[in-house]
Amino acid sequence: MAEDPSATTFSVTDAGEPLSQRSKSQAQIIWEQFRKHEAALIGGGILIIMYLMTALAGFIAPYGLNEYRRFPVTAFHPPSKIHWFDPETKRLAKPFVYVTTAERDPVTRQRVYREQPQEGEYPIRFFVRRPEHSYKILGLFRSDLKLFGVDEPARLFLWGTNNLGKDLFSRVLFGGQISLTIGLLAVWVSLFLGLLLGGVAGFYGGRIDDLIMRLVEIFDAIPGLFLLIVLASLLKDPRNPLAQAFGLKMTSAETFLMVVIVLGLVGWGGLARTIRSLILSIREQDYAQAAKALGASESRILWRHLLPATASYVIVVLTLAIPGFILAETGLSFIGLGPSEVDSASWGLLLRDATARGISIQFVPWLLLPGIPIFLAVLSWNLVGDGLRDAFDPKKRR
Amino acid sequence: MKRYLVTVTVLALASLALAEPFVWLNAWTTAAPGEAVYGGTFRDYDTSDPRTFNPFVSAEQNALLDLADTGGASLLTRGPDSDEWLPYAAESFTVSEDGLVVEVVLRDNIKWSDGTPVTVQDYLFRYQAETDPEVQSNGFDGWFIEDEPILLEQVGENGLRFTFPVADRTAFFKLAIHRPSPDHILGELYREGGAEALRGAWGTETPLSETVWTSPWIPTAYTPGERLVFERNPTFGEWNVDEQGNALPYLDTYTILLVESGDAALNLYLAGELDAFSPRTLDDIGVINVAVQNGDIDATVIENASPVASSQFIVFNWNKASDPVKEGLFRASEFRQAMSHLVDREAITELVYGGAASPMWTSVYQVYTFWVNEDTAKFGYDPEAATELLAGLGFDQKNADGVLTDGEGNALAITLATNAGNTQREQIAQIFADSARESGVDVEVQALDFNLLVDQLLSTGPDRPFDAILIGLRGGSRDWPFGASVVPCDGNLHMYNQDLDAGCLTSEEQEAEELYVQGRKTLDTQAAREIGLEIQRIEAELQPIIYTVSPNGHYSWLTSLRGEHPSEFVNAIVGSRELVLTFKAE
Amino acid sequence: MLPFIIRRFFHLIPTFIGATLLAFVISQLVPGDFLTQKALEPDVRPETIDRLRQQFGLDLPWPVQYGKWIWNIVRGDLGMSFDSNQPVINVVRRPIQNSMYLVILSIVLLYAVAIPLGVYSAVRQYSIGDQVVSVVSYFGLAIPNFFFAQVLILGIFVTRSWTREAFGFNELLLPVAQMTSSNYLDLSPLRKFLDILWHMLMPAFVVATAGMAGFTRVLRAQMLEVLGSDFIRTARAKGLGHQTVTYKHALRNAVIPFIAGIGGLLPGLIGGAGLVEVVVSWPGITPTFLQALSRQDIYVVLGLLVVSSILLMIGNLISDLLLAVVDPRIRYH
Repeated sequence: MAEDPSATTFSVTDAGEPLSQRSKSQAQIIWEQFRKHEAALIGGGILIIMYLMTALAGFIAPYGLNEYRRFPVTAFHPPSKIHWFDPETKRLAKPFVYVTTAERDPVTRQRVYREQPQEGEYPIRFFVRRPEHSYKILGLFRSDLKLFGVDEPARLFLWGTNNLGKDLFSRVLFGGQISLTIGLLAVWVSLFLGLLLGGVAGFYGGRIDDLIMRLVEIFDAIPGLFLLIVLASLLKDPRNPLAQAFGLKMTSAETFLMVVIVLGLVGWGGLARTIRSLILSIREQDYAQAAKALGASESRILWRHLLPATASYVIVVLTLAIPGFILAETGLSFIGLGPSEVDSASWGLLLRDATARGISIQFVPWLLLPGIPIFLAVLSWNLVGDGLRDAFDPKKRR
Repeated sequence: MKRYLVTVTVLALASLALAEPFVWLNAWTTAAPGEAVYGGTFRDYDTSDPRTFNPFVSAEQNALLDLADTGGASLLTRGPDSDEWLPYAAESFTVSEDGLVVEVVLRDNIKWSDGTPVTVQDYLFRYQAETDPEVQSNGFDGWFIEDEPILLEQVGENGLRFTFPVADRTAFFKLAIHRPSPDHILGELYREGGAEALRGAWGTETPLSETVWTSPWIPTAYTPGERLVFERNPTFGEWNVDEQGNALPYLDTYTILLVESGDAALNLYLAGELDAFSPRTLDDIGVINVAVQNGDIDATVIENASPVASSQFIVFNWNKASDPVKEGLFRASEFRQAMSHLVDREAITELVYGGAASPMWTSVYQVYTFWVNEDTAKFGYDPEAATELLAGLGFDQKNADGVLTDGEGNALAITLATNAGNTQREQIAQIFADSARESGVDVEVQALDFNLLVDQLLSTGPDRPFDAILIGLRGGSRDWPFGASVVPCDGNLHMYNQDLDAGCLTSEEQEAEELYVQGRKTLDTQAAREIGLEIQRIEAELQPIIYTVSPNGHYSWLTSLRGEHPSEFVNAIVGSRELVLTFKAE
Repeated sequence: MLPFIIRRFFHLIPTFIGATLLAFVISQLVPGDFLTQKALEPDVRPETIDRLRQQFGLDLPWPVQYGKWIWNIVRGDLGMSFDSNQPVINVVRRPIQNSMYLVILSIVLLYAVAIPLGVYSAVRQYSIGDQVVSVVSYFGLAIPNFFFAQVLILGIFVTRSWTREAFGFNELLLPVAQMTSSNYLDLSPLRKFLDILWHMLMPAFVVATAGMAGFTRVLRAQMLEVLGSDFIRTARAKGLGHQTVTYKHALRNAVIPFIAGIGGLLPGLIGGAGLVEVVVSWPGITPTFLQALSRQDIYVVLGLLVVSSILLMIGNLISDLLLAVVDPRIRYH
């Protein structure tokens, strides 16, 4: 999944050669080049791990996305302390946790959780079954097997809990399912519109160029934030024409889809503009002129010569775009217009939980942890993009 | 009304000598007599900019008008220690036997900040402008009772006569807060240029030196998004003194920093840039406590002063013609009582408000201790009682998904909508949905855009587009706390039943409406209270609106800021201090 | 060239109308209007709402509303703000100005740091230094701005505890909110200027870090592209010095896309520093914009839109012209 965006761009790299004959070896050359780029390899590795973990969230996460206990409360529970040594023998033991109980600190007014060793040790067990909390992997395989867990009433919170007492680690895993796909999906919306309109405008010029660029200008003249907010509140409204036509009720899945469309719609203008100006410049170059002189058809020149020539730049822009969309989702969530919080979570929503606390985050610093996967995902996408760009470019091969 | 008269007479006797100033009592502050010193600045904050300086067109209150206009020479006022009205700009007043005519005599020592004396004409002008529909003033509605206007005219040289079309409690409030507007400036403008000119006057671009006020401090500088500065109004001290006879206010300057959010204000408070802060949650208090402990700031904190005047509630839709089963269910008070039994108010308090909230049982905010009926039926968290009530309605079996069904196989599934982006509401909805599911009621929470939610809530007709909505209201007055638009069946906030053609659907609604009308006409406070208690009793049984909790208010200020209320009257209605009696300790 | 400019100028009008119309239509599609929220206030009568709706012209069909509004624009009037009952221009002028301060400082910071870094990275491709530059510049890119600002605020408070314990210094290193100190009005003009600059540092830094990664990596990519091209090889073969090749020839060609981008900076100025402004309580465009949007004070929203579209269109024109000047291969016909 992580390598998706590059898959198609491989095929359009080399201008003019029949794809069937060259694409495989071309891909091999690029892969060899890519392998030399250590940072990109690390980034790619991180992405593969992240996508795998979120795909298997139901199995890895000890608790459900919205699972919490009203009594006894586990709200704002700090990351559980895992004990590795037996308290009596002082020897290495099977890792275990204690039951904790809450009381309120007189100064900070926060709940503090104290361990209750007298209630026994609760070892961390692997491959436990939680029949009342079954889940589906990739929406296909139902299971109730969990990678690890502890027996009730103890609970194991690797990254602490939020204000309702939901396990943050589990939420980050489930949230990744939304945050990691949102960029991938939105970029296709943008790419499609940007390539199509930018390519056509740059190539044909004249009236068509005017028309398309005017459309881009119109979209561009509206500040991105405005478009984001207004489109988000419009598309998430079940009364909008699109929702009416498809009978959408704005469940969390449909809201998610709408956020993707919003992000994609806002992002395409810049891409179209970039591609157009590149093509304007390349059009004058010798090989395009030569192809024209040789009587190649206009669409052939466009699809076979001009667009591929923009590929390296497009890839730079796209690799910036995917993490850009991931970030844009956090921004949307920050102002309350992201994916639905009711029965889903995204990293942006988790981050909002942290930013909404303002300075009192000092009492619950573990809420900042969702910043780490965001950081890693955005960074890795960028590294991979960088590596790809270098790999594509014959001039930079080493 | 009798009680007013007694107080008024006593005070009127005490102030027989003319030009006697209004005395701010020592009992309203913790400062010892003579302790207060002059000078200094109070650095306060607000999260929204004033949108106009014009008291007529302001669409809502803002910091500037709150201080400069509302803080000015209203006819009556109230101390923080009691609900009694005290004559303020009025020297005295008399109420006719039937309560329909009130005459007030003005003080003769009040002046505008430019030195011009405040006269009857200033009060008449404000009345004239507010009742002119062309001016489109926000005060317009208040001058009408059952579509009949309140009349105001001059009597004698220094007196005003209010004539009410019918006896009405809310009308007295209108009289009490009636304030002057400068006839020699805005009145002039109005007579020359009409309503249009008046509406256009005193926008935020107007130099503040061209505006005049009667308030303790007058605005002198405004920088949008940054600050509002008020300086002492020297004329105020001529008719306002403390018990020792010192002219008020004590503070030279009152500055309001305009901040983007409460978070930013807290940061400024911790940085020592603000003198006071209202903590929103126990977390804020914790942060302040820690800063105090570390020696960052020297501050006082009042935790859980009182619940605030705001509520979160669930309302079921009684107009669902398209789904008769649900409609029947939502109209059954047993059903709504069962739902109230499924609201875990304790969990909401603990989890959503970190322990700082109070359960709420009727439409009257808990903070209005005088008006609230503590003895109503309370359908607290009790899943078993809920199960029993639902069984009584025929929902006594569970289907394969664990959802209650009736004999005809109808499953008990409800959609509960609330506004997206409001974390607290989303969480309350979720807690309710979770406990309801445990009892076999399938509640699906739906987060909608706020305006869409309001649209649904305020929609009318026999078939309205929602099952249940979780939303909140704020505000309401200190006096007759029953919303004009909520209780009567044709009120636009009579949210559960908005089938205007059908009118009231139950006898209880009808009864509450009649009591409401009667209560408004009852001028005697004690009698009005009795009626209010009765309305709440009906509400509690009927449960047309299921109240959850109302959050608690807290206060904090730097210890150098003095003159706060004695702790027994620090609450969400009167706040933590009288600004006029506030001073800065050296 | 001249016909192109003239044509572009005539272009502006329909683009402008298109943008405002699109924005207007989109905002009309959003349910409710300015008065919807007012209807929830218990003390407001429905008749008052109807009266206000009529007064604001919100009861008219939207094409009529739009027509009236655009006609006012033609006459140089941005309309009235419902919320504040005063001309939109008064509401938006100061926020635009305040945001511009912030954005200008952040652009200066950005260019001052990113250009040398980008060149360095390209010249020393794959060196340790190159890697460090990439990672550091990615850091700013990979953290959402508003989150970064929030973390910095927390850091500033935490630093106070340290400095107090270590040196007895109990002051914040940098301001954590607002544009000015609470005693701003008492300061001398020079101190006022410094006070604002002082308050700008942290948010401007946050905004600059976000652009840093993009800027350096694109500049690096362009530099590499140019450095690998034939004419640089020729220049090198001719025996030109390393510095001359790098700065005079390569850098000049590498910045072509940035010159094209200068036009884009103009509307960037009006876009302001985004959500960072909200976090540090900066009285700029974004807070104004968000508030106007949430209150559906439509003409304030559109007013900001008009100002930014004008800047954008001028910016684009400049970009196109500059591009043609620096890159003779581009022709407009």
